Amino acid sequence: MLVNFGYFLLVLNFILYAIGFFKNRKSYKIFTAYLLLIITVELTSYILIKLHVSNLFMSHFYFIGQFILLSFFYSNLIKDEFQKKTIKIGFVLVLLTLAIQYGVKSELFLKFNLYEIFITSFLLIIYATFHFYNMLDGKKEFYFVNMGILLYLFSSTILFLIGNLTAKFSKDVSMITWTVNVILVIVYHLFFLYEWKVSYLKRNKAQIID
Amino acid sequence: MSPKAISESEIIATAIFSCVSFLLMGLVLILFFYFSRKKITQKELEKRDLEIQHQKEQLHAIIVTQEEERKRIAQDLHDDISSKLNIVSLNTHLLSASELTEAETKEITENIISLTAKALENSRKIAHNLLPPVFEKFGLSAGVEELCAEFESSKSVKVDYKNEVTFDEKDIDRHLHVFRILQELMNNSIRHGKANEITISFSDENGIPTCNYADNGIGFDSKNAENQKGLGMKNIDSRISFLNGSIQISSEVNKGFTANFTF
Repeated sequence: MLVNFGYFLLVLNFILYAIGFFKNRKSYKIFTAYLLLIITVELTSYILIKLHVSNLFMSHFYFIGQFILLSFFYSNLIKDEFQKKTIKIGFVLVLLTLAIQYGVKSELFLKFNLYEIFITSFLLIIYATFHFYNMLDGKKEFYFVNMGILLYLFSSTILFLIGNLTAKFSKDVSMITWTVNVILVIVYHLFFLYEWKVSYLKRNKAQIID
Repeated sequence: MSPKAISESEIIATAIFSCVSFLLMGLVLILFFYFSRKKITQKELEKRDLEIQHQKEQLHAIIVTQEEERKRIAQDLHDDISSKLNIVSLNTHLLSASELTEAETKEITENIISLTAKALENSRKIAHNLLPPVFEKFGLSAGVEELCAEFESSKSVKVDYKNEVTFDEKDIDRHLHVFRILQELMNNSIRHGKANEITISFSDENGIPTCNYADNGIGFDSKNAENQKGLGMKNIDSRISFLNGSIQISSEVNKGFTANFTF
């Protein structure tokens, strides 16, 4: 039930954001692409479950894809040179270290990679904080999206970090943490929806009429 | 051990990653707080600097105006009074000389009388310009009325004046500023705006006395900051800030000039 509501919000957000795709800035486009990524990951995971194949390795696509797209998103949104540079360096370092890690220990691919979860989420939290800092005296752009990202990353990171442990719990117990995660996801997407209502509803409507 | 057992190292790794991530997130929070505070303080300082700069400019304008006013008074005294008194003094010396015919004495005396009368009239005018007696005795409204009459009689301009406010006599010091502002505005309208119609009205807006001023002169581009930096405008600005009021000025080229201010 909750899970379906989460999916519904995700698809709704994607459709709403996709409406204004061509008429908005690059950061908006990247954000829409990010929503598409989540849909793809969710859909693939769902199909894998139906095929009775473990879908845990999809988490790597999720974390790394999220990191790549949101890094682009923030580097487009942020104007400060130091912060831009930090994002670029972080981007290269993370992808490099992850490539080395998977090259050396490919069996990590079949479970939650703690380093990967931690470093991708943590850097995104730093970028989100950069953006908040810039918004202190600047224009509020993607204000609620940023809030949602920060809140969701804070909370979900811990849930994913203990993911390897909960995967070994009995099904009933492990369901509890995943239910919590679903609730967080719903809150996350509600923030996106609100951002769309506040910032883009009128703009996109005007474009449809045009 | 069941196949699903969790190895100790896995628990430790999870615990350490969780601990470190919490720690670092806390650190990010602290840094965010630290830099935000710095940024806010910085902004406040900039704002205060701007305020000080503004105050300095106002002070400068006041001093310059004061000097100009002194120069004007000195010139008036020199041109209109000293010169006359000089001739009076010369004539008096002539009188003391001997061998003057009756007619000559009479002519000199008449000269002296007419010059003294002119000097007197001029000194009255100068004093009047400095502070109109009507304003002092009968308050702002009568003062402005007289000002309008003076402008109408001497400068070929039609002035329409309306007043809906009763002014408190206790506030005469504040009203003097209003009077000066109007004086300045009218002078500007005629000197720079070449206006031939001026409307002045006082109204009461929610208990705050407001003055609406308008002319039909050539106007100026009020969006151009250069036009707001004149000495006269600065002087008006500092008077308004002295009165804790606010002023809105709008003007367009060839569309006259309007100003609304509260006091």
